[in-house]
Amino acid sequence: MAYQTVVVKEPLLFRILPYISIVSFFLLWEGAVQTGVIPQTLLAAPSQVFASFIDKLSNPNPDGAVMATHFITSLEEAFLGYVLALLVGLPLGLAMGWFKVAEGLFRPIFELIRPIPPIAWIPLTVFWFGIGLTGKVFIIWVAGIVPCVINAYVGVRMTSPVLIQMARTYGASDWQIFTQLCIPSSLPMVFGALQLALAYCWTNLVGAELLAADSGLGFLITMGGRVARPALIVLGMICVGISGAVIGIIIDCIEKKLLAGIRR
Amino acid sequence: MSEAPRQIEKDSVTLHDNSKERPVPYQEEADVKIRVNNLTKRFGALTVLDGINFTIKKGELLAIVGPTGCGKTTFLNCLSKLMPATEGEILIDGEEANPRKHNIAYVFQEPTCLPWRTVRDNVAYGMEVKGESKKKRDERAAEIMELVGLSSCADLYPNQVSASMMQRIAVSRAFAVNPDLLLMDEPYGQLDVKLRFYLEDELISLWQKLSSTILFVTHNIEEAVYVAERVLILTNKPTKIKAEIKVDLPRPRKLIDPRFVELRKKVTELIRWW
Amino acid sequence: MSSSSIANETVDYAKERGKFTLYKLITNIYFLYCVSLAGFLLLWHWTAAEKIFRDSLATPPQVLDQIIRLTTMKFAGSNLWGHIWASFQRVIIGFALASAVAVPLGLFMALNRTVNAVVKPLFDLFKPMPPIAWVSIAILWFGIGETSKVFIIIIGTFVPCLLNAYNGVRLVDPDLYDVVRVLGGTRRDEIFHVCFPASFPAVFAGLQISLSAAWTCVLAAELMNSRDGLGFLIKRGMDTHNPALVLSGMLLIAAAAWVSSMCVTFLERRLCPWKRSIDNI
Repeated sequence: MAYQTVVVKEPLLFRILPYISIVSFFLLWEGAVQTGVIPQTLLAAPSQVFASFIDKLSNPNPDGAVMATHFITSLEEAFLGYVLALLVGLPLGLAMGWFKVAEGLFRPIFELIRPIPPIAWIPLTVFWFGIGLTGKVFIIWVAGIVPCVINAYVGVRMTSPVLIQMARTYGASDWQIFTQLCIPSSLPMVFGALQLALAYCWTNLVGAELLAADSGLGFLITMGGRVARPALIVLGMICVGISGAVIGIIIDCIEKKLLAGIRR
Repeated sequence: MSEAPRQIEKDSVTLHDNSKERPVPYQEEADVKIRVNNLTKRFGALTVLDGINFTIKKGELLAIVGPTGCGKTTFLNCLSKLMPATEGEILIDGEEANPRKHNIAYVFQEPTCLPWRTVRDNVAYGMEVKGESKKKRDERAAEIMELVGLSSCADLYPNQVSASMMQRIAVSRAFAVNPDLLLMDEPYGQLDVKLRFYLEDELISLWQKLSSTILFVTHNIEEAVYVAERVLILTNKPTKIKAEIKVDLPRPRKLIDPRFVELRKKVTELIRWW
Repeated sequence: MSSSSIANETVDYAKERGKFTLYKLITNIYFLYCVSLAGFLLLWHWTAAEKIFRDSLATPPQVLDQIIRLTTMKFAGSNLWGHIWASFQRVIIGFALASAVAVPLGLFMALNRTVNAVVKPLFDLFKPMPPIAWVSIAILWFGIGETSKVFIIIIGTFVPCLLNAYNGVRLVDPDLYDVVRVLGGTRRDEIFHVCFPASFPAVFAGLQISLSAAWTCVLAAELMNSRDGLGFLIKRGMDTHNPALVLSGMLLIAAAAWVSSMCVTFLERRLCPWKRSIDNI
């Protein structure tokens, strides 16, 4: 069977406008700083930021590491925390959605931890683990677990009741319904959780590094503030933004591939 | 001189006298597959089902018609053990019905295909729940799909096939587990007329080939008389069985056959006088 | 069957009526909640008392004691209520300013294609940047006073509000617009009678997310440098190695975030009575 896609072309104006908008934004920014409307002590022009980037690729001053090290540290922490959050949060959320016992045991603890902003854990992790990898991975893990549990829980509770009734008439046990119906049914929400958890993890990674770190993109930002070099700060911010966006796109592609057969 | 009482044409209608309701004696019919004794369902003060008694023979196709809101869905839910009955019992082969032990299949009004499984896996799902071996599942699924004509789209997903196909998948899945009792709740109600006729014929042919015991609930009288061997008519709430009509027309039945029309009229009359 | 609950509640074989009451008690959900909470508190107390983290964890009674002391004594110039009010003030100002701009802008963007074409790409550029990344530059620009803190809160609140308002409008059922058009409604009717009310639930969801983001931002801003507020309490606890103070600060900020979230939920229930919700969450 052939699916025909109808392509609607937007008018030329609307297709160009976004590019015009972005380009003019950068030009304005560059112009404002170069002409002195915004003093150079407060903001760096895009060209200066780019120059800092090239410089930092090999120059470890003034924060003690080259660009690559910062990237690797941040990505390492984020990856570890994110994967651990998925591994713990998703099964927990799924179980909580279906098994009353699981919900009864874990819900109160979860509801207690949930409203605490993850960066509030920083002092405790500094006490317990020092300023190293473990502490930051812990914070990122706490941050990522919340959307995983919530989304998995909601996904399971949204299982169509008719399907469950159908399975019950065939004599399916609780466990069978859980594995054969609830889990596949909750996959869209679970994939939503992947994106959400990534966003939360990435945000809190920066927060964790801002306050207690010795390398990483957030540390770069803090250092830039301390030595009053706006170019470094903006560089750090842009790198954080771009990395977050790129990882989000990668996860999106993976999701599209995996859900291709279950087009809904 | 009194005449010999005129032989009234054998009326194939049996009216149930509800005041003398009692369970049918056990020895009477040895090939009774399903026996429902005094099925009652109350929701608080509201009595929906009130002392329903009937039996279904092995391999029989029984239709149940009734006015809207007479609790047909509640009735089916009690039969399939999705809901506990307040009183009464449902016996399959003399034992209390149990979805784990007996093979009960239920075809719902809405399509209930699992969207993440192919058609083949959907048809095999019932057997999978029952724990059949993979080999047996595949064989039986292929067999049923062949009978129904689904083999060509065995590897498609439900969202790629039409709604009528989805109901056929549900029906195939129900037949694949070799059910002791197959319940159908207006399965073809949401489909157009031409499709309905086609699927009714398909159902009859499947039933004849596989000899399952079927309970078919519908509000379409024509469908009931076309498909069933016996038609039970329910009253309004609190629901009892009002009458039972034997339909012993030869198959394939013709909708314009005068006897068909007469039976249809009888059923309509019985429903009309609530 | 209601569509917002799972049908396993309806399954109940007649045989199982005679279950032992002990089993029923053990699997009763409220009983389990109590067991869970009690177990958690006990585990916490034991971990702290056994000094597993070497003095860096306070027992629940110590935390409670600290909180009570805070209400009476003055800590760096104000007592507990003063600190709560300081944080709350910043959150409210930032949240109000940001949502007052973000929500209308998001709605406008979704309705007007030109504005969408101009603003959306810029928004997408700034979207992936976490608000906490702005802390350093905010301090550079505004110094260490109130302005920089409120600025960060504004940044943190802005993105989810706008995103949710935008998506809320885009996801309105198109059939509803047809209803208005068929009845002879103008574009203005479409917008005010269909678009806005239909997007309210999404807007409120955005407000909820922004509110929790706002509390996180105020915490981050106060942790960097401040002289009052709940974040300041936590920082003080960190500097003086006082885990009871740190934990008190954490619990207080969680409570504050929860209370403000309940207020938004309450407001939402009043303004959007038609919203369906999945029970329990």
